[in-house]
Amino acid sequence: MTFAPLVQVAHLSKRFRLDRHHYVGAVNDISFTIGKGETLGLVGESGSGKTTVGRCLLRLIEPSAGSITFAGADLTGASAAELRALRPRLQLVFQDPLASLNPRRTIGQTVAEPLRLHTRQSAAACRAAAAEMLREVGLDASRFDRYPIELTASEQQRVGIARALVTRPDLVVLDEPTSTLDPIMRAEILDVLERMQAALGVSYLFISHDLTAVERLSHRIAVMYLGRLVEIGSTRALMRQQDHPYTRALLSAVLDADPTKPIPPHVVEGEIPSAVNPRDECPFVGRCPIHIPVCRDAMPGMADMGGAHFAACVRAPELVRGAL
Amino acid sequence: MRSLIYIGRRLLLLVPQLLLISIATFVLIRALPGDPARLELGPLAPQEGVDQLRRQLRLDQPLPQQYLAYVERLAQGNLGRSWVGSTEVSADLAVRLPATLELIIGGMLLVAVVLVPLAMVSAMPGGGIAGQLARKVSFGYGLLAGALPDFWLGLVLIFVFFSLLGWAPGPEGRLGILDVSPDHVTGMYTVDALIAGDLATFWSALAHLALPCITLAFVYGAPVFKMVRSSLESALKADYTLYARAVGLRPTTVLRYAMRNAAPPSIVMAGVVSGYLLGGAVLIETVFNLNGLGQYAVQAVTTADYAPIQAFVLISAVFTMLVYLLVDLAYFALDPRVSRGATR
Repeated sequence: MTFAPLVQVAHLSKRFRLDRHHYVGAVNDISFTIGKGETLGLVGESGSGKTTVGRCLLRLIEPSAGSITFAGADLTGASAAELRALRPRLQLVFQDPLASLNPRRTIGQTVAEPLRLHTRQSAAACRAAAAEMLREVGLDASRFDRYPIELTASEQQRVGIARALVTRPDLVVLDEPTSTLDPIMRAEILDVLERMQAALGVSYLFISHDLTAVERLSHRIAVMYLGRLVEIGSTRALMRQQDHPYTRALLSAVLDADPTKPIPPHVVEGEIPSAVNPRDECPFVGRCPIHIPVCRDAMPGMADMGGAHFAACVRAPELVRGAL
Repeated sequence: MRSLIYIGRRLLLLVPQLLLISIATFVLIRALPGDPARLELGPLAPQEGVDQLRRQLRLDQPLPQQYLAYVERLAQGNLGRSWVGSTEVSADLAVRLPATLELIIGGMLLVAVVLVPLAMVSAMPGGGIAGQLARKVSFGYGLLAGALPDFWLGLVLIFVFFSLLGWAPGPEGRLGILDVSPDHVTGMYTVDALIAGDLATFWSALAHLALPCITLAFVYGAPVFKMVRSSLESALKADYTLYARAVGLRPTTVLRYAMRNAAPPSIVMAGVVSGYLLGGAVLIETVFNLNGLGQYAVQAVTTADYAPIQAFVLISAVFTMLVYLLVDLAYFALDPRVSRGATR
């Protein structure tokens, strides 16, 4: 399946300055696209910069460098007024549904608010549209006048989704929307997201470290490590064959539901290193089981592995051939 | 409608509260060693007088009657007599209570107009040079505020602003030695002077109030300040605030939402501090010679003067109760969940 491009991110970087000589390289020179109606899964460990990418995409964090093009318009150079006009087309859903809802506003007020802000509809029409959207994400009309704290976590997240989708956005950044939910609720929320995408044709950037959820929802998957993109490819190809040792390690850490299968040996030791003043080298070199001296010389570029599948590893061709 | 029911229910709660307070103070009287009539008249009074007062106070009757008699006396504003000063306690309080209330109100007003805005500005990110300055000042204040005792700060202020600079009057009380106190209406000299239209006395009362109020605001405003700063900080960092920005709300609206969510804990803290200060400002009252309620209570304790102590306990309980009533009503106005009973 191919998609017409909606978002094009080129050489995006975000540095958080710590003091005169130190900065955190949260996102370093990342490029990717998201198609219309496509879901791009963004995976990586905690601290890999996934959330920062999502927030830069919505200009909630100002990128330090690089450009973001959204539906043909340059998002990075947009003024505050232009940005406000784009807001209804760019939305996000949070990890912690309760924290993301204003505790002092009812569900109805919360979901109607984007409409009241961005359309000229009457208050009654906004309320009706909000109620309709809440029904579509599977919330009973009796919830309309409730406060967030009166709802279950799954219902709260449905409200978060309804609020994000009520203005019919083109892109929704889903920032780990299922990671605080139990497995059944997670399946429900993924269902809702899938159904709404089919109905509205919205694109998702699905940020998660839950690989099973990402596999289920995403058309393509991008893997981040220490603020860098290390591999990107279609879900099917990436799940079958990982061309970067980090992706291999990440996938091997997912236990199979079949208990008779042996636990895979590829698990990487240690933790993600510090992102302060990153050096120009492969970020994974310290933990990589197959690293060679050249890995320390420079950050490897994205190698085309064929079939729109890219991996940032100098040894990717050997890895693919099975030589390692 | 729902608000009326809530307010009605909350006011109704005052009845059992008052009842419990009156029982508590009554038990306090009875729990004291010795004869209340003898305590009130002092050790040197003749036995006949004591017996007469016993009958008058109905102390010769069973406990329930004694309680009723006590409540009756309270209703008439009769709080007994101080045996040390041979004065009516109610007359003493008419002077002492307004002095302390004036101090508390003035101090808390300073907290509201100086410290709370400072806390809010320093909680907001950015803000340029003004914001940076506010954060520096706020950091310094946060360090100092918890560490300086009120009497010490009061003395330093007197030394600097009276002895050195001569900007403020000395610690001579609530008015200058030559000033005549205004006609008693509220007992608060600033208010009474304004009612009497006596501007000279008003300014004098205000000048005498300035240093004590600054001392009180600086020392006892600290918990309120810290609460405002930290709750606004966390409200501004919360996901719903990020969302409010993401949905395209104007920055002022975003800030208003955050402030509304940050306000309740700060209001509770302000209420707790105010309730405490009725007796807790005694050192400030002493340093500035204000003759306030705290001083009165401490004097009564040191001379075992029971009637004033009982009156003080009663008044602080009622005052605290009223402050908490105000806190609850403010909470109700700010938080729609309260009326729904939806809070967990």
